Amino acid sequence: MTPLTPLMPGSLATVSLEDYGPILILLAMAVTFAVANIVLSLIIGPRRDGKVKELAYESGMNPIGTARKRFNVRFYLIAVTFLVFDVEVIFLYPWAITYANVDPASPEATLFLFRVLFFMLTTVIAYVYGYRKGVFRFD
Amino acid sequence: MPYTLKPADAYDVDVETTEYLKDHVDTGDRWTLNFGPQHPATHTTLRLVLELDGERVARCTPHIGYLHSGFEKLGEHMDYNQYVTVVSRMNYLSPISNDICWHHAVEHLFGIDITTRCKVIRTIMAEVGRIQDHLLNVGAVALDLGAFTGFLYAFNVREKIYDLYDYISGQRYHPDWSRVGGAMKPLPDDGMFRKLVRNLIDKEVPRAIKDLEDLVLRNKIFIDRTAGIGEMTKEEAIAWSLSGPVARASGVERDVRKDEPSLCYAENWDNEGAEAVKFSVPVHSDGDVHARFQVRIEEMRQAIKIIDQLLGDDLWEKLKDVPMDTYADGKFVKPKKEDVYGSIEGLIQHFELIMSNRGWDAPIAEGYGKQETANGELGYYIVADGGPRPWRTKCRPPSFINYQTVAKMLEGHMLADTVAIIGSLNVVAAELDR
Amino acid sequence: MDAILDSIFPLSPQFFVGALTAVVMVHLILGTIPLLIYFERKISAYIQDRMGPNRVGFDLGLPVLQKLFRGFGFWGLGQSLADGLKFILKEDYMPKGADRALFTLAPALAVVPAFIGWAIIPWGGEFLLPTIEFFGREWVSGGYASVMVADINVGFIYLLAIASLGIYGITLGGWASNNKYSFLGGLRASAGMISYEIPMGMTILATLLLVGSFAPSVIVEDQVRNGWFILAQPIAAVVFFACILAEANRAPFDNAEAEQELVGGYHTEYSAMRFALFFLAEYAHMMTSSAFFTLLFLGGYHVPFIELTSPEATGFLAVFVKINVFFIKVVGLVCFMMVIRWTVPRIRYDQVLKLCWSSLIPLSLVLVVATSIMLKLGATEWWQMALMNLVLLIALVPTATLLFNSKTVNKKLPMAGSRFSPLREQDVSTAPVSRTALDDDNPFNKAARPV
Repeated sequence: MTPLTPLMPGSLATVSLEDYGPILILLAMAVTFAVANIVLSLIIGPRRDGKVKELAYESGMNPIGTARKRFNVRFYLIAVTFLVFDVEVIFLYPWAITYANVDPASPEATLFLFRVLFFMLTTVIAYVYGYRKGVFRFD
Repeated sequence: MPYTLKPADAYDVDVETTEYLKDHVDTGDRWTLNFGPQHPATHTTLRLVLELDGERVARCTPHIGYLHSGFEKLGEHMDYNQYVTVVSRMNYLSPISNDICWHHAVEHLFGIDITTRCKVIRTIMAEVGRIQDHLLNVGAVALDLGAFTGFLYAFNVREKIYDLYDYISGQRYHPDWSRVGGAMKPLPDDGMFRKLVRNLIDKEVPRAIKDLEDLVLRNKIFIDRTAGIGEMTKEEAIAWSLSGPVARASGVERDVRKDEPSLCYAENWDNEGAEAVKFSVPVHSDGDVHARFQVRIEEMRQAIKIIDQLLGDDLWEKLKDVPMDTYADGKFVKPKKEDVYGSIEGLIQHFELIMSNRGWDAPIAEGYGKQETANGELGYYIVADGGPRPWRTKCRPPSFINYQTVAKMLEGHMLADTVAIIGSLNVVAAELDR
Repeated sequence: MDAILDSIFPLSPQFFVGALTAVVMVHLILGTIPLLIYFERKISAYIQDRMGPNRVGFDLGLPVLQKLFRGFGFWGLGQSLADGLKFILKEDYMPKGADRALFTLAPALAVVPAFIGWAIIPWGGEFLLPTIEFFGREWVSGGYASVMVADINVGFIYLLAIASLGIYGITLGGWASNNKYSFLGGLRASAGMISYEIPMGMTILATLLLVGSFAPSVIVEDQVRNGWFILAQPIAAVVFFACILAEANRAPFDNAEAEQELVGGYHTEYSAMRFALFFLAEYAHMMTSSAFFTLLFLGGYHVPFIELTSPEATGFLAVFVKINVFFIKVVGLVCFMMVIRWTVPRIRYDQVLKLCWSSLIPLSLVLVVATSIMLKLGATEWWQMALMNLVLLIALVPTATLLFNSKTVNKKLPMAGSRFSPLREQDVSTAPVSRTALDDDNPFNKAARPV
């Protein structure tokens, strides 16, 4: 078997930090916009307070207990499964770019395809296991 | 200080932690959540205290008392005509049904047989009221499930119904139109009235029903959110004494219009052998929110059918010379204006009826009159002591009886289903508290 | 002094164009959002058979302007302006139990990702920038530059990273309010958003497989050559659209702010400008997501058969036309989202998650596999891919109905302490108490009557 040549497309190899400069400008503008609006409304708006007004809204009644209580969110398992899938997707991105640039007839392409199919198979096994265990029932 | 915003300070009672909160199973991670009285989905002022386990409702305690106006007590201070204004405010969705039912009960007590004309028009208006109520309700179910458009499709037609009320009574929202033995005033013009109703049942209502059906009835999202929610079996529905569309959606075959008919629903209603109006009573076997939605839609179709039978030219030709009010037994009906000004008998009778310490030669008796309104069996139990006012009136409000089943339907479902269930029951808070 | 300037200038053309695009597009988007709110009101009005705003003009209640406009209402265009002014003038209230820092931070956290997300959108393709010289100094060197904020090579990875950030504002806002409805809204939002990120990533993957590059400009150029990807990957387009609806918290996935259930969801306790920022963030999010949809599936700035919108045209006019084309596509998509919002009911929270995990994720996974196999076979023409999509759909529908039984969607679950849905060991009978209720002689139980 011949050793694989690096197949990274040219654009990925060069990283220039200058390209990110305008994003900082954008970020600064977005943050300024958000902060300025909040401050403006805090300055201009009226301020009145009251005993009943400061209660949290709970359909017009006095709140029963606090909202900062332990609560059965029921999607802890989803969050874990999400991690599995999200990491998988992130791994698949570089693969997709590389695979798309490989000549489909070459043996590398076959190898690439079956490697990633095996990789996906592991995730599918995890998915099926989760499904059988009732992770996705949400009740 | 008789009243404070916080009773806890004044009376040392915390209204928020009374008994109903104490006997629950606290697993440590459950929430008690107030759902209502000020909540967009409760439509009116009712309150559910929900105990949530995640998004699922483990326990639900329905509360009433946020629109308490003493409607029943007011009945002891008003004469039989005046009370209609209060009755119609018990159900602001279809006030005319309550008007007609109240006076049906009063006439039953007094033994008055109203004229054919009055029967026809009351039947038409009762069915219009049914359509009005169902339109709001099917729209509100769609609204609660997030389809705001469906609500407005239904509400547009209600505007036309208000126009009709306006035409017959001069008021749009609460017509307060019926009177003992007749109506507040005769129709301004028969032809115009028939035209308005005809336009309603031929064009407006069928279009709204079709729009609503196209929008939500076969929508997969709508079915997923309504099918299997809030199920009641037939036995349970009977045991909980449900009535109206809620009971019929569970398979209970019960309709006061068929079982104990009055008005034009009865055979031989014009004393000349006229047949009762023909209609079917839709019954569904599922007993869930979707079934109630379908039953209500079908009932609107049947109401259109009933009204259509009562708008025939032959019938109205016959009714041409029939008066609206029952003058034959003139004790309870205000005389015509020309009689009041033109004859001493008329003037005296008018005086007797209007003055609060006179008139109303009521029997010393008690009676219960009921009719099938849009929400179910509405009945009034009247005890008369011979005076101008009833000694006691008691209302059997369909909403109140239906509302008690919220906990039964809701527990075990999710928070989002609460709105679907409340919407499908069509709870009118004014009827809850009376 | 000259030495400092020399070290900075001349700027590279890409940096200059990028900075210019950032400034122009932020203002363009901020200016479009009030218009979109107006559109939303008008579209909902037309769908619901009513008028919508048609009175509020721009006279601001001033007699001088009122006289000038003579009561002309500008078709209600002033409504959004009036709303915005109202938001600034209203009291910005914070309930007592709220977490002060997070309560203030949350709206900003919601709005910032929505605004920086579109940094990699190629609004106008390539632009041939002339050298900018004055005061005897070359400030910006000339050359080719993409009309986008940042021509970065990670492209879509940046999109995914920023899209995940939007959730923080909503979840924190819900938690900080110390309100149960808000907290539930925040929870729903986080569960929904993390779930929908996966099919979104997968469908992007299926499309990127056709291109072989992260760079957005390459994606558009590929679509110009090979046809828009909505033709090649229709399933991916539909799934992606569903995902951006869910990510932007729009109906039918707007569980986080479901008015009828949670009153306002995460923004129940918010008022004045802090609420308005959430509102703006939602619309900015819609625009950003629509821009990505346009970029991925609708050919970006390209219109078939119009030379001016091809990647080769690099003049000023071409860039202007391209930006307009892109913007019209984006606004059209946002309007389509509005039509969806005012047509369908809301999907319940657990059904939203169920839809994602048991339909969209397997579907997009299969799609990625099928696309890579097609690539191996060398069949990458758009009609071949479309055929693959069709075959996939036909094959999957019966399989899915066999695999996922949906009969138990709305089951009642037994709960501890419940009176009417109790756990098995604490059975409570709810059968009718009275025998007469079930008696056949009872009029309530009469058999069906003839009509």
